[in-house]
Amino acid sequence: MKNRLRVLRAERDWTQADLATRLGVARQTINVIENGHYDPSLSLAFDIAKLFGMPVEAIFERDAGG
Amino acid sequence: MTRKHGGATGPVIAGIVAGLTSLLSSWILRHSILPTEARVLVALVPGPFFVWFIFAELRWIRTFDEFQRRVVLDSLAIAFPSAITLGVVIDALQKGGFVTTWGVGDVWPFMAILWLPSLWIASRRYPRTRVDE
Repeated sequence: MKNRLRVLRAERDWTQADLATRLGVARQTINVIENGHYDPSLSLAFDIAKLFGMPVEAIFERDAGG
Repeated sequence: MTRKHGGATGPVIAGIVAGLTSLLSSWILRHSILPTEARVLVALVPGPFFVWFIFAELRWIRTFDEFQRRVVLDSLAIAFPSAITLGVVIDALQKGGFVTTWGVGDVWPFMAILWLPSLWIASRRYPRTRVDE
């Protein structure tokens, strides 16, 4: 799954640690999500969407082959 | 909403105490002549310490977020069958008369020992790149 987390975070000038703190997860978790190595749960995806004030589908996008 | 990642001190201490209690219990049972009731008591003494270890470990894991739990679960999925495999191999070697000093009961510490490389293997499935930018 692709996502725009890195871009959205950069727009707000947040570090991975900042975003992790806001979401209540570890910084490594943000890192692996941003790099597409881990797909967050629906619950975390909704938390991320709520934090950025956007719908989930505006942040996460299914890979073309997926 | 911030999740405070708990340290591993609790489960490590509980694990060491439980392991030492088990070793002490085994040593007493092998080297002492005790009445049956006392032998049963000595044999059961490590039990509560292992229960303490389980609760300490669960408390620790509950401080993890979903990704960290995934890595721990993956690592246990490697370590547990690996220890079972080792137990089966030792049991087979024993039945074949090749291993006489080791028993299946000697395998359980390897589950803890195997957990560390398993954790490393599991975490490699999720490579991290730039720490930040």
